Amino acid sequence: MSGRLRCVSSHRRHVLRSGWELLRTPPGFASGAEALVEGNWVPIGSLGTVAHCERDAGRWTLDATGLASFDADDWWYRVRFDGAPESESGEVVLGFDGLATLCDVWLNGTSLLRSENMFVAAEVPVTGQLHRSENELVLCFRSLESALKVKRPRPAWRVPMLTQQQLRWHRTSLLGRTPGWSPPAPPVGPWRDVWLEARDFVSVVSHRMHSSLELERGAISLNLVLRAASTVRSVLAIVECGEFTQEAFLASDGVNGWSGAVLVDNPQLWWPHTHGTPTLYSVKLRIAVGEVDVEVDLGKTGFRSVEVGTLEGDFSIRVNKVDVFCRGACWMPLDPASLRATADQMSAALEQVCQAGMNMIRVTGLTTYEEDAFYDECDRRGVLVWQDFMFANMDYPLADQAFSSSVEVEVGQQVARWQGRPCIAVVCGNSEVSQQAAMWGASREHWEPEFFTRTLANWVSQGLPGVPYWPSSAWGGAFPHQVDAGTVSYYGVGAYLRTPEDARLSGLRFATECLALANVPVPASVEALAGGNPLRVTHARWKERAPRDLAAGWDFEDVRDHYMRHLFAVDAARLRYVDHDRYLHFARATSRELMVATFSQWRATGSSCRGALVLALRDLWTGAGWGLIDAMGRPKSCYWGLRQALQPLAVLLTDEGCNGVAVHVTNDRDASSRIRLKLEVWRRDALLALGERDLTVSGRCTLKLSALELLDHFMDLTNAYRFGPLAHDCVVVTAYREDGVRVGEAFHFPSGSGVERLDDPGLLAVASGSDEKGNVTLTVSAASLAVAVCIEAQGYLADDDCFHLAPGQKRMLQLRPIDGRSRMQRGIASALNSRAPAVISIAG
Amino acid sequence: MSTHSELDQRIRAVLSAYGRLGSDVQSLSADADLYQAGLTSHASVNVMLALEGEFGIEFPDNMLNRSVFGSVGAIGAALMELGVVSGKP
Repeated sequence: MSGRLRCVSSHRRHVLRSGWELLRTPPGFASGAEALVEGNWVPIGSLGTVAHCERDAGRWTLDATGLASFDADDWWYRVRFDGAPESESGEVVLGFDGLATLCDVWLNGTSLLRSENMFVAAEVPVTGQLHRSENELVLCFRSLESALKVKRPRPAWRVPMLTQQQLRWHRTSLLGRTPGWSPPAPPVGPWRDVWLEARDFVSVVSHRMHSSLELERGAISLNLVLRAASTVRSVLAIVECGEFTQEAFLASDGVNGWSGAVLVDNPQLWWPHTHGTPTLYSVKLRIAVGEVDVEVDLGKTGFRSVEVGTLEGDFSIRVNKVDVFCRGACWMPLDPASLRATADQMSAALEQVCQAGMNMIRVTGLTTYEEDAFYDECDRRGVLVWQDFMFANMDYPLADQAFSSSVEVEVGQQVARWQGRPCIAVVCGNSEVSQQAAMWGASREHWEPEFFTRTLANWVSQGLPGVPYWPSSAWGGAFPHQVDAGTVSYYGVGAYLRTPEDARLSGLRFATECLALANVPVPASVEALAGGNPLRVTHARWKERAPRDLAAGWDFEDVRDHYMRHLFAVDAARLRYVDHDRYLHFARATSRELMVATFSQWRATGSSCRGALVLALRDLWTGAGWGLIDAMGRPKSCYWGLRQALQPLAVLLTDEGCNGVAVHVTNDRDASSRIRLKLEVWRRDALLALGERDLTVSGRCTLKLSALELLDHFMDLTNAYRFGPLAHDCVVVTAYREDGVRVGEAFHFPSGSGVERLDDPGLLAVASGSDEKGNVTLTVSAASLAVAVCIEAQGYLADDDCFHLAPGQKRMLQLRPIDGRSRMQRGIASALNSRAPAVISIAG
Repeated sequence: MSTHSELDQRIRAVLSAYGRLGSDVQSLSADADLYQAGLTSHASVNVMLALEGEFGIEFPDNMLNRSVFGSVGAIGAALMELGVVSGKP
């Protein structure tokens, strides 16, 4: 099995990517390929899921309506290929890295394989079974809808987001089968590669790789089982990192096994990027077998320790003995139709994660296990991974022998892929299974299925020693979704409509998912929705893509509107009637302000919270989805807000009521930071108060001071005392490095302040000429406070949205061309508190 | 005086185990309102699942509503509609 095996030099792999044909038949139409009609096969461009193939051929898009689900029919794939030239000392293997979900495979008319688990890869030896040419491989993916009609025992609890409760019997993804929040593209077909491999001289039957750290010595331990036609004379393990290299021979057990360890004294540690450098060591093997040397690449590993502290309901993650505030989001596949992404796309997506100051991504049980390129990027960039197994919410039939055997294979394979990967921080049994049982009213004995508390924990501890295991994404306390104990899906701020202060009042420890707001994408993306700009939020096409709980009489846009009212004292419904564009502007500002306020409380000094992951990182289809980034990869306003609040060195403000405004400076890095803090209190364009303080923030520390420490007189900055009418508009705190570079900024608006359309805040926006990439630098400033400034420039995307400008402050932004356009022709900058937008003046 | 049939008894046994009713199930009349007796919609789901298990039937979607589970008598009538014969196991 592939595990961490990247490449074996004596193996030649041919991925069967092209030359395939596709055929759709009614379910159960034919039990075998012989019954099929010749003429109906349609050629496929490149192999992939049904959704991918149909989209490629122009027969389907996410915008299509009224079509039958891919789960309704049987889908046949066929390819003809030449046999691999065989050598005497080798084997030939056909590999199927992922088949979704109930699949029969025939080779040259003979049944080869039956797969019933989308998450299990199969390798079938076919040495001697292939013709020199014109071999025929046929795959049939049986209708899941038909399979779901089979009568089986009912679950002990129902899952509201699913219309099909018996999905629990099938090892397949819930994506595309949750009409409330995922697009109608369930994964059907070969969702990973199908390949033919000739393996000469030696095969790696199994391998285990594990890196550990003991005091100041690192060890990479290796265990292999090899199979070779001639004698394996030696196995050398080679570990490299930059200039450093270390080698060690493995010892033979006399039969097929080889084991040993490469020791690295004082290794460079792997750190999440917010806390240090994610140093990786490459691991290779040189196997001397017969007359040749075969090189094996096992990829890269890193030295780090991960522990989870759970004292008194706590849930805190420590990496290399340092407490890490984990912040990030729940991953969604970059392309829900194909479930694949290129290495470049993966890289770009993880780059966005790192730029925002996020240091953890959760792969949730609702989706799929990701490709190797994803974990490679997380290792490389220092992004921690919270990895669920693909179980979510349902009452899984784990007592069923066939089911649990299949799961055991699945778990073994996935664990083998994660071994030795420093990014894997927590492995979690499932998403919300215990929570769902409890919420539905099932009694307590259903809340802790032994499979997730015991069995899976044992398998993980054997396969991934040193990696913490957690039974469920919502776990800990008197009931699974108790907020102030263990982990939870935290929606107090969000769906449960509690005040923003609930973020800290709830005593949250660790949110494995949170917020889940219907975030409106930037105007350029709204235009891309069928119908473009005139599309209103009440339109069915818009609503189709706004998330909802199926059983609820509200949707997540109602949640966003509730907070719009709370934060801006604006009647969302009325505003939507009279000025839809302004309503959307408020909507984007709401997402950003709420997320910044929430994370500021969680990251603040004295907070009980040790981590939070937003649902979700990215939308699955264009619309007001849960993503911080839209389906086209464009960050939304809330992404930019979090970018400000989540940096390793950050300034955050919290409203402490009668205690005034608290300023928190947080420093995740090892080295201490000298900064200058500047506090300004503004009314219109008048600076009412100014204070400055030079500070040293120690490494791995947060500092807290009261805003009033920087002033020499009392001001009711939070409008808690109300001795008179509101005296100021906002408080701005900025942090500068010693060289004058601004490293952090935060705004606070006193409670009770709305956003009034003042006289023109004097917004000025000037665009420079474009550079060689076509990027334009935009300089924006305002004479008085400008709230939630938004830039709209035809054909360009700005790298900020809904940001505030203090009076007299100048911001420089990059505008990047969407499609290689080289000249910016027009654009506007608008603020929530300006009557009219400012036209961007274009210089040069 | 009514003697509870076997069907009736089995229904009451399920209600005792899963209904979480405030009052004693045996003392309820056949048309006593179960919701008044404390049946919540949460508990009614567990009752429904248990009835399906006990009688080997499946409630179709259009029978998953409040009126079907409104009383012991209503449950009995629904079961008979689904082919369960009174007095037989």
